[in-house]
Amino acid sequence: MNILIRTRHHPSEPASERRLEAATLRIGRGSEQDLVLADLRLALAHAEITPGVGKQPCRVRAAAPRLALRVNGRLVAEAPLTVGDAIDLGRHRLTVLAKVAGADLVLEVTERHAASEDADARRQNLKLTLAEAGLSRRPWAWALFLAVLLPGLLLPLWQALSRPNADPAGRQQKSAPMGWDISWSSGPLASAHQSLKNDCGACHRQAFVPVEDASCTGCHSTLPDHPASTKVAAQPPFTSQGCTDCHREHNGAQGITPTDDRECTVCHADPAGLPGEPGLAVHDFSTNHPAFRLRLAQPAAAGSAEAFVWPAVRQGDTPGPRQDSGLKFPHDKHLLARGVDAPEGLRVLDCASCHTPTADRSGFAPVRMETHCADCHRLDFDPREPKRLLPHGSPEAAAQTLRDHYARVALAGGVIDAKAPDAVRERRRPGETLLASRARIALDWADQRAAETLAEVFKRRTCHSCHTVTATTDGRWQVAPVAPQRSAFAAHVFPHGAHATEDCGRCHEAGKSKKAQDVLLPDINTCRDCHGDTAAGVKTPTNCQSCHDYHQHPHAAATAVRP
Amino acid sequence: MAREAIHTGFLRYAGFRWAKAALLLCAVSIVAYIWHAPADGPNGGSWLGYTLGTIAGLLVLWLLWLGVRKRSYRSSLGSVRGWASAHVYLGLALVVVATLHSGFQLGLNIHSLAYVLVLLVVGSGIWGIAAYASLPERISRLREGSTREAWIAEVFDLNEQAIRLADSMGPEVHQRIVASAEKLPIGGGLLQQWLGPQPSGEGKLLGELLEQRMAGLRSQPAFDPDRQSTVSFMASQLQARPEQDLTQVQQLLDLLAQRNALIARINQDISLHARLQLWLLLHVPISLGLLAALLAHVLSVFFYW
Amino acid sequence: MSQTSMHTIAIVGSGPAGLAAAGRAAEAGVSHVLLEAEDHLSHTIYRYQKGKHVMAEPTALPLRASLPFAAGARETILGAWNDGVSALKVNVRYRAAVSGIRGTAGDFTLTLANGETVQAENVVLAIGLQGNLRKLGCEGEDLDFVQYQLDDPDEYRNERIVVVGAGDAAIENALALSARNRVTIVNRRDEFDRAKRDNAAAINKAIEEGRVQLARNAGVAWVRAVSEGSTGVIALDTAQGSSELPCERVLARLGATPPRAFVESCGIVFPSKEANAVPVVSARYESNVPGLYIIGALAGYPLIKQAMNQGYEVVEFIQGRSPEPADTPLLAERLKAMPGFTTVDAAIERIRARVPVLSPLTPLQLREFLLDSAVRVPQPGEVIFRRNDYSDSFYSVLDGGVQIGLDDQDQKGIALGAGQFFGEMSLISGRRRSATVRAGASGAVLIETTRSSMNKLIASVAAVKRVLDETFLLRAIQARIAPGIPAADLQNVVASAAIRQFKPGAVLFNEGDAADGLHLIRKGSVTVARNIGGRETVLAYVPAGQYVGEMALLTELPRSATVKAAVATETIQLDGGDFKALLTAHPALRASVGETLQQRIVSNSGTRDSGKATGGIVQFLMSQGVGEATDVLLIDESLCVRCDQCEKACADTHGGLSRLDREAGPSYATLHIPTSCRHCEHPHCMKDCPPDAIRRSPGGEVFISDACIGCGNCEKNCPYGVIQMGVTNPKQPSLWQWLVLGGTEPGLQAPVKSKAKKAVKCDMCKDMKGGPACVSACPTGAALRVSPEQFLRITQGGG
Repeated sequence: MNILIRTRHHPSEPASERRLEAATLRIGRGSEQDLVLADLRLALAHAEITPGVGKQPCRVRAAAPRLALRVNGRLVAEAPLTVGDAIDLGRHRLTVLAKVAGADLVLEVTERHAASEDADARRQNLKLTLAEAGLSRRPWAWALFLAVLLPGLLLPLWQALSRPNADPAGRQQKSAPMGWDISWSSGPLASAHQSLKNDCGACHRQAFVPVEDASCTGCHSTLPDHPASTKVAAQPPFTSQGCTDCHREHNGAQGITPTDDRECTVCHADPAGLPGEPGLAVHDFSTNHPAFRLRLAQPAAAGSAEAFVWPAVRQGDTPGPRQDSGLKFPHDKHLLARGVDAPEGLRVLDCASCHTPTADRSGFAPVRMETHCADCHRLDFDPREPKRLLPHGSPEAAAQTLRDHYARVALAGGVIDAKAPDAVRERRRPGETLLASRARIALDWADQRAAETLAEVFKRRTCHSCHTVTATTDGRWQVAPVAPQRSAFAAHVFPHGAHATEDCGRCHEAGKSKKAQDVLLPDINTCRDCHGDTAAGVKTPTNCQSCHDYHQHPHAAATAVRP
Repeated sequence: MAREAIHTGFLRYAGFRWAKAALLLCAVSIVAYIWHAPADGPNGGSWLGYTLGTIAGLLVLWLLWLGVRKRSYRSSLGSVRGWASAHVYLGLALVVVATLHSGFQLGLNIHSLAYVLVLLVVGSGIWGIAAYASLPERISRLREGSTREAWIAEVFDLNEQAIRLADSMGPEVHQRIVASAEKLPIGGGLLQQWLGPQPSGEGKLLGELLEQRMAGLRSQPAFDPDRQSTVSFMASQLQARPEQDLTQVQQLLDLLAQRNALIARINQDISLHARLQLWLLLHVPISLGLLAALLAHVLSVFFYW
Repeated sequence: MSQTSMHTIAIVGSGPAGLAAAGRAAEAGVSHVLLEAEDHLSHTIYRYQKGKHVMAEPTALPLRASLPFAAGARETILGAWNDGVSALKVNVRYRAAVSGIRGTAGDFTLTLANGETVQAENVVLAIGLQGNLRKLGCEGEDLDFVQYQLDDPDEYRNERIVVVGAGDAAIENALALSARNRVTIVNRRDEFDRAKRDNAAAINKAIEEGRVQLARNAGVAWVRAVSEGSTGVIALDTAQGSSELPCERVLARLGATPPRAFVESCGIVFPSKEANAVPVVSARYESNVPGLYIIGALAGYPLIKQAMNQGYEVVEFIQGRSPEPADTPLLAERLKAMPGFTTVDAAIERIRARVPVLSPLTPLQLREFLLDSAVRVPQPGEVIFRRNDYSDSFYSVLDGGVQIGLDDQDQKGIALGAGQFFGEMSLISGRRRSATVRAGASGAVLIETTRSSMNKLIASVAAVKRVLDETFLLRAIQARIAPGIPAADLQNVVASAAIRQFKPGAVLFNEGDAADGLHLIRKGSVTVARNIGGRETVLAYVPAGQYVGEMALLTELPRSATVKAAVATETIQLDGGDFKALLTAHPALRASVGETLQQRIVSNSGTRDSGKATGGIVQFLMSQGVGEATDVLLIDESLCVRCDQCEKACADTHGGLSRLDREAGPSYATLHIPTSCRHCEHPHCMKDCPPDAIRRSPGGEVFISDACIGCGNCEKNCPYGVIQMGVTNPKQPSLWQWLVLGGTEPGLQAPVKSKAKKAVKCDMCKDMKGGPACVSACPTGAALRVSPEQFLRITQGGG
């Protein structure tokens, strides 16, 4: 076949052409080859190109097995040649060009690079540094930067800004779907707020504005503010106080109620600055807490509307706290170990005999005469008719009962009493009616008798043993009023239930109390026997919240009792 | 050696000035942390939390700035060595400050992510210090005053010689040598660079030689014989060829052995250099990740105040 | 034109000077002939690579010539000259290499290489310094495929090229060409022993590998062009008989004949043997041979503009006119600071008269000298330079006087009056100023001259050299050894003193030798070594300005150590005997000298102890020529993390061209000396800088000013290969852009492709606040710049 070989040493250079006639075009390094390529990397006889038969195109094949022959970059042992194919032999490249007149095959021979550059080219192909291996830090840096920024900042931001800032009333009913900004949560919510955990906007209403009280009061609408008295609340520090100053969310199990006394003591350690009535300094419970302030009944000054007042008196003050409920009650006599006389004989009493816990076990039901006392303290007055009792609670009723009783007795007659008139002593025959004159005598005696008994009941016996009774000038009797029972702690109801395991006597020395006036409430030191500061850890931890409820602060209570 | 009196490394820069500064920072932070004990437990929201947070945040930004400073060659704002020294020690101190800032409150959120990234960055930094401390000397020892370029040139040269020698030993040998010269196992991707040279041919040579003896001339997959099998192929030629060629074959074997030893050395050098930089492939990208996390952290905290 | 006709002026060489002369002659209608050895004008510039940017320094100097010249591309300039020559109808004879000049004024006969002769009344020698390229000297030496230079090896591909010659040029060209061509190198001899070792090794390797064919012991018989098969054929006579090689190209690199021999053959005398000495010429450029004029580089004026001006002027002179020299305005500018300045000529005369050291100069030399000088009029007591300044200019006292303080407090010192000079110490030793000099009570008028023009002067005017040497000697002794001894007493010591030169490594004296005298190191530096444990260990390095062998002055003990020159060194050897005589005459001096020496012994003893540990390093450094450095970059490889910050920093702060190559350079243990300027005491780069663009700043940094014309001499002259030709790139890549988006990293920008290359080298970032960028950018503290003194202190334990 006739082959036209166009040699071009450099793309820029003009090509030199040469024709040759050969059955097969032998290519190699050897000088006997048709196309000699001076490249030591080639075999002496490296490849051959055989002419195409008929429609068949020319074919190139390695002159010997396992000789490196690349056609269009692929290693082949043999391959057909079409226009545009590139055969790479060492640093030379043979390109098949379009046929021209009188040539069966047109090849262009180009040097991919000169011998000297060959080494450089090979050197360039080596990857010797991380940079050459394409390991730049920048793409990784960008990737990581965006991988964090997108979900961590951009998406949440976009969501937060696009969310309609609706009022969260009713939000907590159905929990919102989780948003990207969940990743912004600095910690789990308190259990009460679980329903809000996906709904940051429920509380965080405005961007870059700390959570405002409105966010809380939206739901906690009935919660009394602190302090109740608006006068005080209008002054610092309360003006500057918001819910979140004490209630910090995202603290998970720790909850939202402040457990640390400093929340209170930060102000109360030095109450001088505080508005309202000057309180006492409170630093902590165990060492520096004021004595309890009790509100105990005292008879009101004469002529005042109320029969009793409950002034606040502090334990340890002089005069110490006293109470006068108007009753006489020696605890010791009732708690005698041998018991007390009862109709059925001796009965041993304990606290529970009279003080029955309320349903919620937080306190005790009031002691009632009918249920707790009347068993022993019977209101009978006529030894002959021990079953007859006086009514309790109203002297008039009692007087009337006596008069009725004795009138009946007098008219019935047959009273064995030497001093009594005949009309009372003589027996009556059945159906016999007394003469008016004699009936007058009998009734007079009955009146006199009732009066005697009344005087005795009020002045010496029954009523007198518990009540203070005075006779009025018009001969009536008056029983001093009895104060209603009320907790001595205004701020707090002492959780007796929580202390049920303790013996009452441990705190209340009732056994030694001779008079009802004795105050059996223990002082703070009694509490301190068991209770200490949260920090201390040796005793039962106690913080302000244990006894004081911020939202019903003493001020609040004080204002509550006033009419 | 006395010479070290002039060259003071960045670690001992200015009599460990920055190490001392960092220690002081840590000490102060820890003391403050212990003394502080805020109402609802230590957390980033207390005033100390904000303070430590601000310090840590600024610290991160400043540490990142090293990348800029060390490349602003005209700057006379301290020497880069000083910066590097401070970078190392304050970077280590950052772990303490950031931890205290977190108040050990960790969870699945962006804030903890930032913290974890800090730990990762500093960790990779420590790796870097270790590399910087150990590798440079090894490179010098390996180089023995020569350069890698020279070695590579030498390898190419040995290849040329081998090919020329093989040329006279018939096409098969020639083509085999050429094939092996085509593929030089020098450098390569991350792993090749990192893990460095394959076990040198010398040891394997004997084993393969025996193997060859037993299996005879196992035909290799065409055109990608690795250098080991080339050597063993030549070794097998030692028996196959007539006496007068033996010297040539021996010569060729020597060339190849020489070349392989050199290649092993080059790869070792590449590996050492790669390992001087590898840690940066973690350190820098993670730092940027940290930057993003930091932005998110700060912004989110005040967005949802 | 007949060869016998008599020309008024024959101009030899068509360089800028010759051209200008011929141009002027043609313009003025003077009969003339311009003889050019080549077949084209101004061969030196013609040989510049294509498109090379030619500069026009000094810019201040006005051009006065009939031919145009302005900075620009080689082609432009040559084109303009060719046009000018044809426009002016200059009578040029090409291929007319002058081989000899005989005769006297009015009747010169110039013999050409081809035997023809040219008659002329006056001859203007403008042949420059390049000399003529040696040709093949056989048939066909001028065929167009026979060439004598190679600009760009890559221009030629797949040619058969015969390279004739065995020098470095021939070898380098042959190797370069062999990449794409079939190259045969023809060596007249058996070995490549004239070439550098590397080159010889490289070519032998290439030959052995068959990349280059070799014709040994072969001479070229003839070259002929042929029409068949190849462009030409070259015939070689070899030991085996003659052989003919077909070839497309013949490249003959046979070197050039240096002009000096030829010039001297014309009867012109050179003032000294110094290589850079120039023949003495009158103010009218007339040499010692009447009627024979020398202009241009050969007369010591290497710059194109100067040369052209001289070409113009010389014709004027020959015509009997005397034009005001073109440099007069410049000189006026320089000199007008002189009190009572009237005219330039008057001023020059005054200087000649008042300053003895300058009087031997010809007016022309003096003009040239003053062009590089400045007149300074310091106030009384004003400091002219301080001890340890790194300035190296030379001062002559025109009026008034100065006070040289020798000790730190400048208490006692030497007073210099009008006519005397100072500053020669640093000039000669190349080291920092050894004393502070103040203007005297009455103030002073000084002429400050640059180092380069002073050296030129010393080389060309023997008288000046002698005076300087003696003064240096005297003052050195006064300053270093015998302070406060009147010059008179030192006369015979000085007389007996001899200046001795030592090659690098040469021995001043050996351990155990009889002590014959003291060596005051004048230039260079020496190492002090002792035989410790059987091997020679270097203990100390003694720089110029110090002295060794002092013990000989007091005792008779043999030498206690071996002293070798670390670099090319000059010492002043004081004869022990004379000095002892002096001491006996001056007991006070004996005491003081004894004390001085005592201190030295003490300070040295430290060295001796630590010697063992550090000797190796000192030896290594000295072997690397650090001995002549004033500031060398050292890298501690145990700290170097190979980040190449140093290179990037250098490139970024110096227009994208890094002046240092971290990896290159030798190492010892983990101490590495990268390829970077050492700011030598006597910078080799300064040796041959036509525009004197390489300067030393007061801080000691050797830098290249913008005056550089890109001739590349410094690049060739630097033995440490730290100077490169390049183009700085004013715009630097933005750091932030790179950090964020990638692209070109600051410090790694690609070099600018431009022909207007200038020499670039380390300037120690003298203009930057942070000090050398390479050091301040090193993150680990591995890179450090130190002066050898510091360094040796360090090797001696940081003391």
